[in-house]
Amino acid sequence: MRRIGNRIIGSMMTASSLLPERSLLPGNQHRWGFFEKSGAVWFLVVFWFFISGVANLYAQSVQVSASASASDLFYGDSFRLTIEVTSTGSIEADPPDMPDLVAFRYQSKIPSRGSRISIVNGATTRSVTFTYVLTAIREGNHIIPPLDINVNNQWMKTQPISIRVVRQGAVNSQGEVQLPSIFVALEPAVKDPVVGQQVLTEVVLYFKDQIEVTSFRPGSGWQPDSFWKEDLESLEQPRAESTIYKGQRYRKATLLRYALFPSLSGTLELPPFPLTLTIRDRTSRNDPFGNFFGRANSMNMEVLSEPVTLQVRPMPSVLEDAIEIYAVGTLQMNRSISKTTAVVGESIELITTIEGAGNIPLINRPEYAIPEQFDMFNPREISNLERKGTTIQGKKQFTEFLIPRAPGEFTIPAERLAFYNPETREMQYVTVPSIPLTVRSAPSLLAGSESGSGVALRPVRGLAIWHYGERVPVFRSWWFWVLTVLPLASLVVAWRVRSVQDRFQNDRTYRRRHQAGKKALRHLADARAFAGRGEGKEAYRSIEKGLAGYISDQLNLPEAGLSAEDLLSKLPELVDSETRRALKILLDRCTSIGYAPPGTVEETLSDVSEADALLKKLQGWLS
Amino acid sequence: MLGCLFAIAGPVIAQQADFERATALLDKGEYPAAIAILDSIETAGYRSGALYINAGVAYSGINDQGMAKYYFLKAQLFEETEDAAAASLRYLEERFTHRSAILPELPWQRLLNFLSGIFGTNGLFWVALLFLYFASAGWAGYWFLQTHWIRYVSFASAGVMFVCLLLAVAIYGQYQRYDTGVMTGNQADVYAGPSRDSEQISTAYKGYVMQIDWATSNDLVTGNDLATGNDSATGLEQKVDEELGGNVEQGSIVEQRGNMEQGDHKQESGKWAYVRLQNGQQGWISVEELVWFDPLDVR
Repeated sequence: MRRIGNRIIGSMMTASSLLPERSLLPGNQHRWGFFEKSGAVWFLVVFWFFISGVANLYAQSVQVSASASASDLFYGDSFRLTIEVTSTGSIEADPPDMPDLVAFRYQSKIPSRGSRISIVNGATTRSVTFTYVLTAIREGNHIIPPLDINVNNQWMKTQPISIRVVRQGAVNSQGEVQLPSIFVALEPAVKDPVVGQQVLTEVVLYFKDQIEVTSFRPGSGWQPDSFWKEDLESLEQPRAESTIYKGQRYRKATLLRYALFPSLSGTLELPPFPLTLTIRDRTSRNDPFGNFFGRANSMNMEVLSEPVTLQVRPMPSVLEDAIEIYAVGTLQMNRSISKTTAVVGESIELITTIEGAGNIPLINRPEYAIPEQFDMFNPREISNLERKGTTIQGKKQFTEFLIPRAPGEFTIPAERLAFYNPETREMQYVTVPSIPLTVRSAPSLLAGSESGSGVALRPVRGLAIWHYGERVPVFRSWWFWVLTVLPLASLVVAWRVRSVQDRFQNDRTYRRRHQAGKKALRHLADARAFAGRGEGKEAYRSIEKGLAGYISDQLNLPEAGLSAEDLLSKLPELVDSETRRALKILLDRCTSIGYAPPGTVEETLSDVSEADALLKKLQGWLS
Repeated sequence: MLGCLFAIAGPVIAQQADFERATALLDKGEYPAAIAILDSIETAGYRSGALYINAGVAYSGINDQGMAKYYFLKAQLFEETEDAAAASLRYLEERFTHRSAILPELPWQRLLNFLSGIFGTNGLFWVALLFLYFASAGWAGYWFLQTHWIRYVSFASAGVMFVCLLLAVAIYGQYQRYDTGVMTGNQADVYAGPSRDSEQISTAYKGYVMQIDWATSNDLVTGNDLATGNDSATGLEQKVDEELGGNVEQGSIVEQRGNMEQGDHKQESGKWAYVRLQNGQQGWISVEELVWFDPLDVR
């Protein structure tokens, strides 16, 4: 440590030697002038170096050290590890970063911090301490390595510390059995239980006569792996009694009791049990220099038991026809049923009761061979445990809810339930007898008892209303679409009719063309009538009206005033020359007949027939 | 004339005779045999509220409450057995180990169900057709008579026709997309996805009723039979019938049916349906434990 201190001093001296001497010379005006010229920055830099140099001078005597309250320990003993920083100046130190130690366990990684100032011959010394409490958890020679601590922004190291941990009862080089003045031990009642067997485990405190234990507190979270743990209620306050332990006199007190149930076979370890004690050393009470009130000798300490190894045996195999429920203890078993006569659908309770001392909480539900005509619903488990004394006692009840699905005579067969008796150290079997069951058809089905509404499930009798065939949506049938299209088609027809009507009323050309054929036929019919009556002139007038009218109506020509040549010239090119010629002859005859005597009736009728033929031809071209 | 009468009434009389025979078996407590007969009637294509009521009673007799509920729900769709089915369902509900919370139906669903109950899909199509005639006649009348009130009547009729048509299509689409499913197995988990590795959302128990959404399901489920949404129970019961052979000793039916269902499970494994439970939760359920029907097909 001193070497470290010297190194720091050396470095500080070096820093001091860098100070510019000239800058401290008063009255050096031209130098001040230099400062004035080069600005205040250079001065401030020099001043900072000066101040830091002075501060470093104060740190010259900083020392750090580490110490342990004991260098020889028993397994499970606790000790204090103190890191102390001492300085003649101010101390700014953070707790050191504590490494993980294999052989020791921290009770807390947050240290208790203390500070002290002492003035001796006018010299002031300040010290800061960081104290950790550790518990030895591995025997052997161990070294707590140097610890890094930051003091006044400088990293410093403590010296390593050697600690020896010995097991309780170990023999030293002088042949003496080494035992601590106080220790805690885990004492299982059985060292070779079977899986599931209750192992009563006591937490026992051993201490010398001169030690007075005023209180104890078990460490939290003690849970052995692969064990089911049940806390046993203490019947009375712990009482100390004198005993001889490995040749030495101790006082012994049983503090706690646990019922442990191993869940695996093999070598299992009960981990160290932590215990926090408040003790007082009676020998110091007689010390006249001791604290008047004795409080100075009262202290808290943590002790740790040594781990304990158990050899857990597997449970002996069970006979093939027996049901294994993993029960261990001194147990009684029986099976009962809520009713032996039921109706279909009625709930029946099959109850298995297991009681006695043993691993009651861990017993499995027996799986019976239930007739398949029964439904099983939500089995229920009820445990009633008593944790007083040194054993777990109580009763466990498994209730199966069976609901028959069909009527008939059934039997729930007899079964053998197996359990291990630790007293006889062998498997034992309890036979639960078979249970006959009568299931009747449910009368309530036909005369149901629904609350307040009378009969519920009653079949329908008499003539049923039958529906046949697949339910096809109506739109998948063709006639639906026919019926749908029908009004639409009617609407189209109506629209067409209405359109024609409108055109008739408003379009003269259309009306003339539309009516041309009928008018012509009417005139030719008149002509035939006139011809028949021998009225030749009238007949030819009608023929002219028919043919000329038809052409003018079809071609939208004036209704009167056009000669035969005019009409023929308006005819489309399609009309052949023969027709034109015949038409011209007939129309000329009609025109000239007013000035000439009419021919015979036969001739007139012949012309009417020709007019008919010509009209038909014209209709082919003009309509 | 007489021949025609026999041709029409003959099969109905035969079904009625079978139905009465099944009812007599029910009275004697011979439920499996009654189920076989009732199933044969349904397989022949006959539907009846009384048939479904008696099938429900028979299944309840063998304590298959899930199937019983399935048939009572079908019977409830027939006007003549609606009240009896509702009473039977109330009675049956008391026998289930678990009952689901039931959320009220969504408003649009309530409307569609109401209209479907009054008119049915076909009824709405018919009403739409009728108003199509009114609209067409009105419009044609307006063309010829040029009377304005006839045109307004025509417009109104066309509007009613379109509303009816839309409702009919909506109801039809609804029933095409959704089926009513009933849990017949004791218990099945509902998952967030169609896999048992998905997050579990809920658990459905025997007798739970749910709405199966085939439109969503068909994207993911395997198998063609599900895609068509066929009535699931018919095939199931056919197998029951085959197992029974029409004359099976009472007491053995449960075991046989159980075996048959296990066979179905193997066949159906890997098929999932997207469902909405009555408590409003939605998720995927394996169809192994479900039976379902399309209300449109039943009515």
